[in-house]
Amino acid sequence: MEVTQSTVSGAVAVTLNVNGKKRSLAIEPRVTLLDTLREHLGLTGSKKGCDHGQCGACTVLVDGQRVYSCLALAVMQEGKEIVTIEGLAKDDVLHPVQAAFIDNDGLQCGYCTPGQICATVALLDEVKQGSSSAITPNLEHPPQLAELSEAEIKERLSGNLCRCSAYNGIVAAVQQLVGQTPPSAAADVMVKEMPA
Amino acid sequence: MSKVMGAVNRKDGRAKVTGNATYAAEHQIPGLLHGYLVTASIGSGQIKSIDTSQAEKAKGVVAVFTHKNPPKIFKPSNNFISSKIYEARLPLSDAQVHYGGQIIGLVVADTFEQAKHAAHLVKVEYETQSPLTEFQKATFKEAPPFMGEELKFEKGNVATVNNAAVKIEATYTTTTELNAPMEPHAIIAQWQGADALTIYEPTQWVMGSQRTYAELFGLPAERVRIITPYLGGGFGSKAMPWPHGILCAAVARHLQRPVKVVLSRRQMTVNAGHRSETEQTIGLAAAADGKLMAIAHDVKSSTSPVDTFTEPCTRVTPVMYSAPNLRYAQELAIMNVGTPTFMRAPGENPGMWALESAMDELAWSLKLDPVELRLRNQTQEHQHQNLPFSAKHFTDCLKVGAERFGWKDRSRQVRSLLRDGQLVGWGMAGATFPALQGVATVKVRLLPDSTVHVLTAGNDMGTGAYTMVAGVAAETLGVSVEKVRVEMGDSQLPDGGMAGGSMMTASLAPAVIKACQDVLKSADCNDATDAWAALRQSGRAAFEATATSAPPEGEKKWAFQSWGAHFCEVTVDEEIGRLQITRWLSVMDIGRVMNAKTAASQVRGGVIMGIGQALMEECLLDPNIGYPVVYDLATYHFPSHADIPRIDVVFVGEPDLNFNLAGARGVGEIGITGVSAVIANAVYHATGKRIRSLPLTPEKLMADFRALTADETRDAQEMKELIASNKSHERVAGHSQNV
Repeated sequence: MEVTQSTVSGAVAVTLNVNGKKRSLAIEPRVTLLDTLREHLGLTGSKKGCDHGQCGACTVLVDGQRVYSCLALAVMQEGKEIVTIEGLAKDDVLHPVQAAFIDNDGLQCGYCTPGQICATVALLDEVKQGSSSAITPNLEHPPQLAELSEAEIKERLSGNLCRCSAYNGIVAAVQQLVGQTPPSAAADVMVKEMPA
Repeated sequence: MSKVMGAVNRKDGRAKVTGNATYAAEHQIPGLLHGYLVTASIGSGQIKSIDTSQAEKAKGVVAVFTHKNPPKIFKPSNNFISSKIYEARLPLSDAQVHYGGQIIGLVVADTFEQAKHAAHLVKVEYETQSPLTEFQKATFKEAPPFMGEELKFEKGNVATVNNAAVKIEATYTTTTELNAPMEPHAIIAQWQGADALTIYEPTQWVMGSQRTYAELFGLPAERVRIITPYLGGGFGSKAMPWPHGILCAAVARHLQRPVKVVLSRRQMTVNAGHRSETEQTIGLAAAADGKLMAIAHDVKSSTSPVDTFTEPCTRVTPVMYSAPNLRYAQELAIMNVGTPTFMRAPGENPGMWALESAMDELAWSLKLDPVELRLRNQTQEHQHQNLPFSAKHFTDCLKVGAERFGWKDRSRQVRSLLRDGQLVGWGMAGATFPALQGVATVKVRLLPDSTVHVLTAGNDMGTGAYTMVAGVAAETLGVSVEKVRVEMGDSQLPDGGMAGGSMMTASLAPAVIKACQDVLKSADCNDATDAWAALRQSGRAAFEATATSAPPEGEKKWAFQSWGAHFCEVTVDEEIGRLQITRWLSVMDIGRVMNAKTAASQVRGGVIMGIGQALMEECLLDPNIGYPVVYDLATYHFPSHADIPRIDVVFVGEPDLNFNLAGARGVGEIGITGVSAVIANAVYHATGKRIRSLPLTPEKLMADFRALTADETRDAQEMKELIASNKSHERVAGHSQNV
């Protein structure tokens, strides 16, 4: 068990379960889960894009549900299972969502990517559990994974912004993950070959 | 060269999807202090008094800096060659407030929370003046040259053209837009004593930043190290130091402690650049066959009181269409706003909004296919530089685009297509961006473990540069791309030029090719496999070579420019003013495509940022207090997943070997040009509403189309017929989904 010391007065002792490891530290109650991960635990994979719950870059999984970690206080997360982007791959083997993002070029600068990936992991789980979205036509019949429409995917990921706008690639990654055949990430190149 | 490129996965993908890519604010530095900015709450005036006593007494606070105790900063030459900062006024240099949100102090504390809290304890009294933030009330004067280029030109005499079949004159406006990269601007400054500095800051221009920080602190360049392996986007706003970065580094030197400053989204609104609003008047005169007789383009934009930046919209005017009489001019006004700067396709983007909207208006007036109008008027030479274009395939962009989109099946009437109760419209427009190339140096090392190491201080802010460099090296050496490791974004590496102006590929790729060729030559081998064997036999640690790309040969012989055409379908629900993009095709001529995946993503990213400009992006200032009413990502809207359709991307043309030996012209910015015009043109087709001010927000879409067009005689007859026939809603839109 790692213990991170803090000299800040007003700090309280907190033990968090992050990526399967117990982490004990002393932080002020006003410190967000995001800042705790980034500034106190050295887990900088979760990103701060807006600090206001508006961009989704800080999305992590808390007890399997996606949470904007910039809107969650760390002291409220004791006893919960926190999974960040660093906790998805198993040793050298990428999580299928991570691999699908690379295959479909669902990232550019990479800053929103950890949030998009965590949101996608949760999305797939939500669909499996039969949850509807705001645009699901019939709430009695939530979509199954295999029949998840492009519109459903986009609706369910619209809490995660991407300024580089890798949106097409991210949607294609989800389509690939649910067993559909997404359109190619590559452009159709009709440019003449280089002369030999 | 064998062909191993094609569609290659991002080299930096694994680091980014696992959270292992380290961005500026994430470097783990022992003893780090946190800085939080104090910003002015007035739009114009002077600081009468500033009381930092409470802040200084707050828990954890180490120091508070204001103009009363500014840290030492030297005035840089600021000439782009030896140094360049975004805002010429140095931070905390006096009591003057030039714009709302200007930096007036920095609080440094042990933790982020303590610094932020204490920043709000600083009490400021101001002497306020009325800020000027309304474009309509500003005083405009002739704009100075833009990076040495005159923004004023005339050939022939536009005023004497009086025998045109059709004349169009209209004014098009754009609003203030924010670069808004996902990674907020951030810096960690760490001094090693008083005369060596390490900076962790996202920068599109590693060596430019190194030289600039060196000048700001009176150091030789080699005493400053810039470390920036990953940038969370920049779009023009992360090329040079901003005041917050300069202040952070100065304070870190004063305190002799490492300090981190990260801008909040509110601070991002004014302290990290924006695209100025613009007002552009385009005049077109054409013969009955559509041949242009005259083009006139007059542009207004604004800058801040503390630096000069003109949005160079007229750079597109002499390159797109040929006219015997052609004139353009730009004016600039100073307003109490933060300093505007480069934002993806500065000039070309708003310029093409105006020009390509006007061309569409002309096509409707002439009852001519807008594709055909463009084909008839394209120019084979740059009309200001008087040089022919090196390898121009604009015709292919238009023709391939029209064919794949099914353009010939379009309806020729406005308000004539209806689907699911919504009006449907199709639009098209051209795209263009100049091809630039800098000087870049690359070191290539062949290692005994059968790998290749490529090193350069160039940068990848999401463009795909890591992958492009690896791919070019792999191709030249005849090895698989997995064998190549690329290291970038550190000023200790050879100068890799700037990730800006869409020039990184054109600058780096030729240097990579040359260095790879040289390393094989030095090993006296034909390919890497032989060279690795020879290396192991020799017992040496590596074979290595360093090469520099030269400026384009024949610079005076050719004008270098990229081309494109966009086609789109929109639906408009007039009752609620909802505009959606339902289909998109972009056909681009950028010379050689280095990687079909990352190049497609660059075009998609540009198109989508353009969709944002067209539909929603707008940074408004309160005209009375001069303060932005947009202050985060809930108030500054840019597209989310649900706003975006599939963007199909096609590349046409040929490798541009007149430009460089890689044949590549660059792809970072062209995608955004023309996008807002395509959408407005499609909206006109759908609704009969010619909207000339961006963004195309619901209240504009809900307006009565007859009111909007009543004063336009060229549309009136068509409208009257349409209303009389009342058949507009009978036809159901259909299209061939053959993209």
